[in-house]
Amino acid sequence: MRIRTETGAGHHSISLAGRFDAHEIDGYRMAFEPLLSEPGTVVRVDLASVVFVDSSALAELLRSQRAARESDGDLVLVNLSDPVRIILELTALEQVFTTETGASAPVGVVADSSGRPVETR
Amino acid sequence: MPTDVSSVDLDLALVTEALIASQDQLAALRALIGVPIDSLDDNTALESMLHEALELTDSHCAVLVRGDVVMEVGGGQQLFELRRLLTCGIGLSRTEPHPVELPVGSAVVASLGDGGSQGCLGFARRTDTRYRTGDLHLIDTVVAAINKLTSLTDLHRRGVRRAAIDHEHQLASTLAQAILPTAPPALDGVDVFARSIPASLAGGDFIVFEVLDGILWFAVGDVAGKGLPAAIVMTRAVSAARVAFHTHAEDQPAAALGAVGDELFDYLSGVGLFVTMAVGSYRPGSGVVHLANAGHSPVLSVADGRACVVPASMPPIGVVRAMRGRTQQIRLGPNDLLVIGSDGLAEQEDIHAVMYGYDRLLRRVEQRAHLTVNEFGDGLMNDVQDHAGDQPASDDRTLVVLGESRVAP
Repeated sequence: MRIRTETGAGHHSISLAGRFDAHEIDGYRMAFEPLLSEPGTVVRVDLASVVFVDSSALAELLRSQRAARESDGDLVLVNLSDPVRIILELTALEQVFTTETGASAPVGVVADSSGRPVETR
Repeated sequence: MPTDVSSVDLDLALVTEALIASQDQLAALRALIGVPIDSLDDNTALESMLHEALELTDSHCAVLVRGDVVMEVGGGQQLFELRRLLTCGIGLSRTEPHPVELPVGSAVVASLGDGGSQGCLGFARRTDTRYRTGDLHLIDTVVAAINKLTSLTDLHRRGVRRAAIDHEHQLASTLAQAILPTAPPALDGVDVFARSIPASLAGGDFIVFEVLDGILWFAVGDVAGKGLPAAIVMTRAVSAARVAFHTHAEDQPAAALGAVGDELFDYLSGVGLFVTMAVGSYRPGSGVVHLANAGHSPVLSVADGRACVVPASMPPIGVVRAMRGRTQQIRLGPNDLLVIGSDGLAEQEDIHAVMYGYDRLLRRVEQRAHLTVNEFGDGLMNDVQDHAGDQPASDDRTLVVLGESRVAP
């Protein structure tokens, strides 16, 4: 799975592409956890290019939501792909997550999951 | 010039003596290499090696220091001096075998392992006969042999520990899976197919059946995650479901599910997992299944040859505290079926990484709706396996099929 992290003033987002399953949990966590360094952070997770999620990935998203809310922030799932939307509906988890559609990426530094800058806008 | 016979005889004697000594060393070297190392008792093997090394190096005593262990062979005053040097680390400025001074006699010391990480070793002679270059090479050979023995013993111990852990893992998996039913319940008026195949030794899928006062209670569920951790959580879910069956009326599966959720929420929240579960009850002949679904799929009602999804009325257990769903009434008349599976069916990939998929699952269910419960169940599980081919299971596969008993034609 490809993971792109974008950070800006008050805006943090992670874009995922590919399969999000048990094998991708560590990489996702490495990208997500540093974004919660400040209280009140809202992290947007863009799922437009995710082709598959399994129960481990859903459990990880729930864990991320709990961690964000415990520090007075939130996790927002953005641009749900059809496979993701279907799984959330089948599991009735769409009522648990905060979701958005059509959110655009904030301006800021783009880095890959290992922290190396990819481009700067 | 006339040859001095006595001089030749003396030379011959010296050569013969040297040859014998060389042969003795060769025999000692063979004995050193042949010390058995197939035991975990490396101290015994080390002691045997030191004895052989004494003869090999023409020494009178040897000391090996490894951590708190001090091993000594031979005797004499030199033994005391050598032990003092090695335990105090005196004279170990170099790792390779090198001479050190003794008040009386001569000695050589060397380090074991990388940079002395495995200890140190020393040999001593009572006489002032110095250890020559050849002796140092032999001692280097002894050091190499001891290092090899240490490495092999360490590998052996790690292998044994790993085997013990694997055995415990296997045992824990077997115990976890033993909680699942080995056969579907037998109850007049209802036919049941039930099969659960974990993707590895153990998994998070589960099936629970109880027949109480002529009513069939059932639960089919899936713990998020895979392997032994999911299986351990699964055993808690199964126990909670059984208790809930006994404490709720047949038309209260939603309340039963809620009770399971209350029982497990803190536990699941603590480990960061959730459980999808469908709980239901069926009284044979009633024509109705009462069912509550907490985030589980696929749950399909098949009537008149058409399959309809029975949607979840609440999120999985462990996500929201005190969540309550609703009980749905599913028709189960003659030729109707209730099909409950796990996501391992639709998510199974073939060699081209193409999933079996929910659309194909629905089609196959409708195509097989006329079959008996067992024919239906066997056929669907085989179809998923045929799709997988030689690909390993993507996830645990579970299938439960309920149908009104059909009268034989």
